[in-house]
Amino acid sequence: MSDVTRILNVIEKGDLHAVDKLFPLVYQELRQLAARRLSREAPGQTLQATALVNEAYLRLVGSEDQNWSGRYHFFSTAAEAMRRILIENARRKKSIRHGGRRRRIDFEEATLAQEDDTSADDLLALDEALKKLSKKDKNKADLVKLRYFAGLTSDQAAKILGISPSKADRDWAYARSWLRFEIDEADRAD
Amino acid sequence: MGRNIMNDDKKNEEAIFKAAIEIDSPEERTAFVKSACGEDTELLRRVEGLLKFHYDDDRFLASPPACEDITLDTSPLTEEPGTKIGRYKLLQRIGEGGFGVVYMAEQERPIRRRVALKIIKLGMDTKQVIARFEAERQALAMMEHPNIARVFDGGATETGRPYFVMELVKGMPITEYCDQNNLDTQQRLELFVDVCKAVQHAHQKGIIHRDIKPSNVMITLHDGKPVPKIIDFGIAKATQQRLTEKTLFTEYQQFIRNRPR
Repeated sequence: MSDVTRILNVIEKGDLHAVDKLFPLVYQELRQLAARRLSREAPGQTLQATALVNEAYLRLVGSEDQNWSGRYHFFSTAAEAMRRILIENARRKKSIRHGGRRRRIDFEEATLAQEDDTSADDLLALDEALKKLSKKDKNKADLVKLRYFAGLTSDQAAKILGISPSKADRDWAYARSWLRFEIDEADRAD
Repeated sequence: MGRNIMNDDKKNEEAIFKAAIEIDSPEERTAFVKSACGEDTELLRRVEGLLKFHYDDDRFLASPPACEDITLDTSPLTEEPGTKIGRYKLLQRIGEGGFGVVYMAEQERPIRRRVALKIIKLGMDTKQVIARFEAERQALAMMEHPNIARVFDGGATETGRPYFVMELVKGMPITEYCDQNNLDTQQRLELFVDVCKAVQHAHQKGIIHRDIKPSNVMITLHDGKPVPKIIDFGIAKATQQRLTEKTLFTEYQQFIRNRPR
């Protein structure tokens, strides 16, 4: 039984403090997976966050079947860890532009100077909006995190959150538009 | 579904939005939203905005986020003799300065020759360095002077560090040469005149060095006669210029403006 499975079992028995122990393990695993993958790929290769989360689940939890609570805690934790990794990365990217540190680029890319910060900016803007949504309606923010950062399908996320698939679809539609609207308003305010 | 039924504004907004997206006909939807929001123009603005994004921007959050460069701070630096960088094969380390490490390297294509390949140390912003180098490349190519070492090429290594390829100059810094050979003032000034002529040549082509110092002025021997060669032309400008938010375009304009008329 892996450490993560053991922690999930403890959480299952009602010890919610164990959730705190889960985070560093999942976070570390995701970072290592990303690093290992990138070291094998050519520079400039992009990885999909959700593929990493799935791989981390297989490695940390394996095929041992998890009940609803186990999956809920694993994927919420993984979504949060992935979100943090991506945000840290986006911040670093921006600071690199201002402070100057090395980065991977192709020679041809160099002539296109400047235009690569958009994804970092977009991600940071999304994160700000997501924080606001979380204060207003935590369940919807969790839904977005599970689908976007942990890569779950709508049905999977619905099961984990204990809501019906049709409610998950409608909540997703509203949350998505709400976030997009919020980012737009924030842009205008700048 | 009127406002008065629900007290919470945001819940109301959500309920109207969710009901609206169940309506297929755009006209009916618009009419429904208008009547549901009633006199509340701010609510109407928000719901219409939400619906607009719902129908018009289906790409938002549609694909999972990509994580690029996550290992930026842990990627190893492994350049060493034998490593191939672009079309150059590193042969041996020949120097190290404030900028970085210089290797003697072999170019195989299009001509086989030995070159000096300077890998800029960490801390430089690769993309900007190369963009600046590219902006000056044309001008650098036009410089042809026996006392200026040619700069052939530039790029980025796999670990993202900028490098420059230059004519390989075998020699020693001008001050060292003068001292070792006990040159008198007359002889030293003669060498210095050659250096000045080289600098003037560059300035007439609109190129400034920005980092002329003894270690960048090498003395090589041609048939036993000392010949100064200025190295690193254009590199200081590419690597040292502070550039914050400017685009390559403004950078290029600046470069034009800097050139003497």
